[in-house]
Amino acid sequence: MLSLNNCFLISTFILCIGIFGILYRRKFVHKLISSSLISLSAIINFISFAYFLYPENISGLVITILIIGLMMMQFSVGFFIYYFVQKEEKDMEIELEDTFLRLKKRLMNFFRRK
Amino acid sequence: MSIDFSLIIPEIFILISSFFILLFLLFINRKYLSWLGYLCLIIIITALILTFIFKNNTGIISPNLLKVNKISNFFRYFFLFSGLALVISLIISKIERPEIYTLILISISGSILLNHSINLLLLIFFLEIVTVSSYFIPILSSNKSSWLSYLRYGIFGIISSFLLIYFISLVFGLTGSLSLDINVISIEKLGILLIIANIVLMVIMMIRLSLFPFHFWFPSLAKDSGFFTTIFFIILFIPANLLAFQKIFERLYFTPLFSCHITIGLICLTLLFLNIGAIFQKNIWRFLAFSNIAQICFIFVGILYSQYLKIYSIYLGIDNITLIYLLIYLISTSALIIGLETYRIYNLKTNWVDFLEDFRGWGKTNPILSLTLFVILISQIGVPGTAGFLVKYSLIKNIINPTGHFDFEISIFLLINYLIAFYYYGRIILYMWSKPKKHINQESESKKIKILKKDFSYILVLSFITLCSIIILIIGIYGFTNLISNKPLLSFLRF
Repeated sequence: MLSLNNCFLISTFILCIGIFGILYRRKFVHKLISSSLISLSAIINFISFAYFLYPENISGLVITILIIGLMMMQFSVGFFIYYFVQKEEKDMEIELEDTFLRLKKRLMNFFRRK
Repeated sequence: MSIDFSLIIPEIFILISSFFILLFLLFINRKYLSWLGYLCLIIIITALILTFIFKNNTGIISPNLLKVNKISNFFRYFFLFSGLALVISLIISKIERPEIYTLILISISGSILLNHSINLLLLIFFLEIVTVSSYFIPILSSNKSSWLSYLRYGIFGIISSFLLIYFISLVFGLTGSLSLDINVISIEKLGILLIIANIVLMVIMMIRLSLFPFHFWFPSLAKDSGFFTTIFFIILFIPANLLAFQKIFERLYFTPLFSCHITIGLICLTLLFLNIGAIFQKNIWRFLAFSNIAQICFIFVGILYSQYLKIYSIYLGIDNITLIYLLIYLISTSALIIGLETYRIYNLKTNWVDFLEDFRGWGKTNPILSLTLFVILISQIGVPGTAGFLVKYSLIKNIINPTGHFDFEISIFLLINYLIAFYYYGRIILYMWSKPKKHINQESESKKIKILKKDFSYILVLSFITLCSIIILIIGIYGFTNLISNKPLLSFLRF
């Protein structure tokens, strides 16, 4: 049977997958999809808290709908950025050489040396 | 549930006029839109006048959603002033993208409404309005030199927004409501949730304010996108985020002893990193990004101490040094950046690749502009007699508390950073009044200035910068005389 603890565990698991995807994946779209998992876990949190902890308060469910709207807005902006940059710079690889990746490479090299 | 619209007349005015501008853009040929900047200037000045007329209108706009008090009224002036500076900077930079005016007006009204909101969801909604504008402005205003930094900002912005939504869900789970007026339930009851909420809030804060592990996105974006993006982020985006976090901290700071020390530690690290990094910068926009986030860190330490030690509280209205610091930061920074860009456009065709060399001979080629910028720079340093000294002095004086945890050490640390800032700003002043470059022909430069003095936008900018420097000097001298005679520093700015 579903309980609040189980729901929270599921949402935390999805959050962890999202964060892992953001850190591990290199392409912009993959990062965007991974970040959407974070908002998915937030939605699961909202529904489970509203259902188990505050059943008399319907605001949790209303807020969920609003948050889906906010999520859509962010997604549209993200895809706009992706489309625009790809249109302007066709030769450019849409990859993010960020600090995490550099840190990961350094750590891998460090352990290989050991 | 009724909504009292009479309390937010300036915001409604700005929003309606921004939608009218958007409509105009559909029907009117873009060749005839050179007057749009001046129209926006009139709109913002009208909103300022409306704010002044309805300054005593305070109350609840709608229960549990929006509330107007004296502090949020103060932030109306604050954001309208930053809007004024942004429109002036658009006029001088002559960016041929009229959509930016609408974006600016919408983001100003969003950031003002953010300060009225007493509901977390509404706060996030208005913050997102400012954030979405910030995604479009680098595209519309930059010269498309490099997109990598822009992509990095885009993905970080989206991730932080999603994390913010996750944070709200945790707050809803803890309290059962999203109202910022309700105090949080006891801490022992839900320990794990509180710790996760604190960690998520810190990560969001680090990304949005470009703090220690994520301090790299803003300087690179500023370098690639140039003048207008830098000024937008420095005087509108980061202050709006700072105030949103301040509002969250004010009501929902669950475990002060756990989080406050870690947050202050992170901010101190950021301060040291940015201050040392600013010394080695050669590009002016990167330098400005580094030095201004360092200033923001100073303000943030003040906000955290006001929350943690209750030395001075923004909402109790005892002594609003943090607010005054924010105001003076806004005035001096906007005047400094606009002044630099004005000089670049009208006198010196440079890209600020090696800005210290470009500063040589300023004092002789354009004495009025360099004198006003000299006043602003010494205020940024914090020389006695200027407004910058007063706020830094009061901040460090309030933090020194030998009985508290690490308070004395933090104040010493702030003092060291103050000295580093003294070095890198003072270096600019020295270069400014040193000998001019050999290849600059002074006669032709002076002729150029004579021609450009007839340009209306040049006069507008010069009067704006002069006004800013006069305000800084007046506040500084008034406060300094009060300091000597042991009176309250800035009694006229109390709320």
